[in-house]
Amino acid sequence: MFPLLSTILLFTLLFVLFAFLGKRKFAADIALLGAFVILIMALAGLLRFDFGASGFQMLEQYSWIPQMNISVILGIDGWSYPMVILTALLFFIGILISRFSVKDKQEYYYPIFLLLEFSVLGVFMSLDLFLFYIFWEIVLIFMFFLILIWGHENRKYASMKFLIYTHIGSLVMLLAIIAMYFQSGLHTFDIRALAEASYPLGFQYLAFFGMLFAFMIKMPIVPFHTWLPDAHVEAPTAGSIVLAGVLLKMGAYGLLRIPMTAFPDAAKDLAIFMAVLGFITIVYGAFVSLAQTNLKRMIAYSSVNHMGIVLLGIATLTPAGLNGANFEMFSHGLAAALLFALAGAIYDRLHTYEIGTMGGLAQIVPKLSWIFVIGSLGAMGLPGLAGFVAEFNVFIGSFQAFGAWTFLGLLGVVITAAYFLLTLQRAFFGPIPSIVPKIKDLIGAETHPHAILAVLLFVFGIFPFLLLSFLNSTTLAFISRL
Amino acid sequence: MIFVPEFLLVIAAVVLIFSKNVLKKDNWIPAAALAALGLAFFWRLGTVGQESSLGDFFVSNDFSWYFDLIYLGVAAAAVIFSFSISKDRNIFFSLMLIGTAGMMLLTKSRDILALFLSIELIALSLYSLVAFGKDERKLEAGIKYFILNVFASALLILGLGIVFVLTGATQFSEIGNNLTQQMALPLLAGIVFILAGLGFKMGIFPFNFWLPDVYEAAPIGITTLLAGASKKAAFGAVALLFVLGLGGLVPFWAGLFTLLAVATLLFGHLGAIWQSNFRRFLAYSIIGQSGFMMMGLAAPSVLGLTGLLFHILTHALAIIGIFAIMAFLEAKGIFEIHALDGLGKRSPFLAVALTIFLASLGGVPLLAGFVSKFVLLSAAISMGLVMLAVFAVLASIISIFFYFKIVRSMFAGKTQAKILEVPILTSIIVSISLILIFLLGIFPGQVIGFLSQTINYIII
Repeated sequence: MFPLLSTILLFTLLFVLFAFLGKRKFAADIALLGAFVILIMALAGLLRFDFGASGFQMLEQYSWIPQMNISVILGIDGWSYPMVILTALLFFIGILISRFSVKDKQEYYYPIFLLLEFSVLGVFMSLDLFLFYIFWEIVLIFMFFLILIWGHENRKYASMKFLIYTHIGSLVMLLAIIAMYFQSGLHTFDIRALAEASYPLGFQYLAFFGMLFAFMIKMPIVPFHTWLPDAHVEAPTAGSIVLAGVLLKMGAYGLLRIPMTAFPDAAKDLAIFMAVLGFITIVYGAFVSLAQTNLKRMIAYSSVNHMGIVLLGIATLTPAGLNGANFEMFSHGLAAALLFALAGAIYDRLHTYEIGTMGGLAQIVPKLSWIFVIGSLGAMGLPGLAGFVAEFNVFIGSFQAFGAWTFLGLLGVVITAAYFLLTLQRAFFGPIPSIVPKIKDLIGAETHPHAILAVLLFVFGIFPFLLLSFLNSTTLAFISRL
Repeated sequence: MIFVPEFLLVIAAVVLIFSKNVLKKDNWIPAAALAALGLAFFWRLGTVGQESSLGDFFVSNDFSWYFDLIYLGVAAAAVIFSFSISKDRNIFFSLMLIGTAGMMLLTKSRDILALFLSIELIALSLYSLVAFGKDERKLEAGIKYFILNVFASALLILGLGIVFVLTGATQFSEIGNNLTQQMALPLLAGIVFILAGLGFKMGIFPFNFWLPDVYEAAPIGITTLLAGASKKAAFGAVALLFVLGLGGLVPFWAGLFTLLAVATLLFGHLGAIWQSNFRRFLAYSIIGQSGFMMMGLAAPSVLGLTGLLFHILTHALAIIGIFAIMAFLEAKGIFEIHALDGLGKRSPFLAVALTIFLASLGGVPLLAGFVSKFVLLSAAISMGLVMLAVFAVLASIISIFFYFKIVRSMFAGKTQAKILEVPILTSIIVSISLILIFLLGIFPGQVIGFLSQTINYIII
């Protein structure tokens, strides 16, 4: 069998090298070509992917540090494959957009961006916890540099906050991983073997809490979310796209992949706890979004709100809830990426994120505005768009598991609709400011990335089985193990 | 054959000292010292796997081979950093060679007396080296170092004496044989004195108060030698004495090491946050790193001792790289951390290299420092020392904070200063450490395997 996954990773590294060593003015083109090739390769996996199977596929295993029983194990299943595709897609989009917004130090920017792609892909592909941790950590480092060097005014503060917060989570996770290595008695980091092992209940609780803590910081879940708005507001546009689009999903994915799978007893006992945190995050995120005057900060808090929905879906432990959570990870990836891309486009034109200084943009830049409307409706969960399928499934699952408490989550959805509509009204449909800014609409190539994302929001909203066919068998296999 | 490299160094040292009577010029002296170290290094490199001994006093095997290579490598780098020393070169460099020979003897010793003699040999050469130069501050640091070390030596010999009186033996292995559980309590006094004596050299809490002052004032090459080699030698000696000699009482002293490890981790890392001088900052961070090494002794399983040895290597590599950069920057008048602002623009190579060295110290994956910390953490957890692991993680987070604060100012700080031209020698040393740090970080398997074999020499 052709080793597709490792080829994808190696090609990413190869293009990093090309973009770094090539001529400065070609860095963007090389990176774009690289991201495109990776996207095609990621999609090529569809030809071989068995949608009915529940286990890991396209497995590859190479010995790495035999002295400590550490191997490079790569593989994907119905949960991780959509994330791999989403990663490849959003990094491609990110590079398309960076060509318009990143001007300085391009010869370093594109290699670092591709290195970030490499590490995120690695997180979703690796089945060895040591390897998983390594990818997880270097994602932080590259994102730190992306914010630090190409961020906005307050980047020094935001990049450090991002690094420290997420690093705390990583190290706690590392402790839990090492503890699993010894406690399982297997002396292996192979996720598949560790998931089959049995652990005493006390250990399950402890390790589950450690990992939950780590992943909650990453997702982020209230009260560990405070790094996110700062990081988003200061990050360059493409950085925000991938941060909201896939980096946050790493948290939810990690939660599903490791503690939920390996510690089923603790997962069942702590489901209520996670659900409470999910509800709090949904409602809190929505209310705080409502209060924002900075467009990017508003979208950032809406990400918090959506990750709350993901956590709620996971906590239901029902097929509908888990499918919905995974669907939400994908659809929010598209919607958030679109909104951040457009926020970046607005910033490039107006040099501000303040909603108060905008107004009547729909008349000045109609194309940009209407795509923003689509993105907002997608994030709100309007039927016909991808977000609806996700939230519908999550709340079905939530009704099955938690009954009437689900109305708390629905309240959050209502507020979400409120703040998006409010923002749309103030920034895009309000009166035109007295001094009409002389700005151009999206033209030519700049339209493409936004259009792709907007179309995909519709595609997955109208044909949800496209994504559900990936998720369902893995979800059912997961449920059956509980 | 056991002492060939040591003889080589001592003979070179003697030749260097007396050369002044014959030759007027002294600009060849650093090169000669470097050549002697290089020769010893490659000789030692070729003797891997060979075992030999001098009575029951000194034993040479892969354990000492590993340490010898680290000492010789660090000493070679230290000699290069000291090229700018212009006065009394013959004495300066010959003392460096003698100190290095002392360290090589220390990790070969298998007897209380051999251990003590080697330690004194190291100390004698370092006393004068620390105070080298006319600067009054250096003299002050030298006196501080001298007095505290004499005090430490006195405590050490007291402790060793107690061990001798109780067990009636001077050889480590015989001490081990004669140990009984009844000795545990009286031995505690001896252990405390020994730890106090060696703790000065290891730079662990609470015996580390001399360290920032001395590291700041000493010539840069000597600081490198102190941080990269002599401190490691002390750790090697402790591992030999405690595991080989007092291994029967592990449960008894491991708890003490755990406490000291936690205290050292916290003291070093918390202290580093507040420093503005680059050398003092590094001194505190090095104290913190000693805390990680102490973890290996607190969990003295094969895994823990492997971690200790590996961390000694990865730390020495980072030290060599960082001090190479520092030696260059100090020559340009940069002593304070805030002067590093905008180094990314002034010299991208140095800034990226320094970032990688600091990241390795902080334990960022794919770099050598991560793997050694990982092994140490694993060792602690496998022995059930979860709280120790938690404190280590806490220290690691703090360290990431202050290391990346420097990284941040290098890449996001503003500067008007002009571009720095990096001399070729600095580039070479920095590149070698970089390559090794990446190699050990990505493919640590061979070294881990080798070290866990080597540990068998000291675990009975």
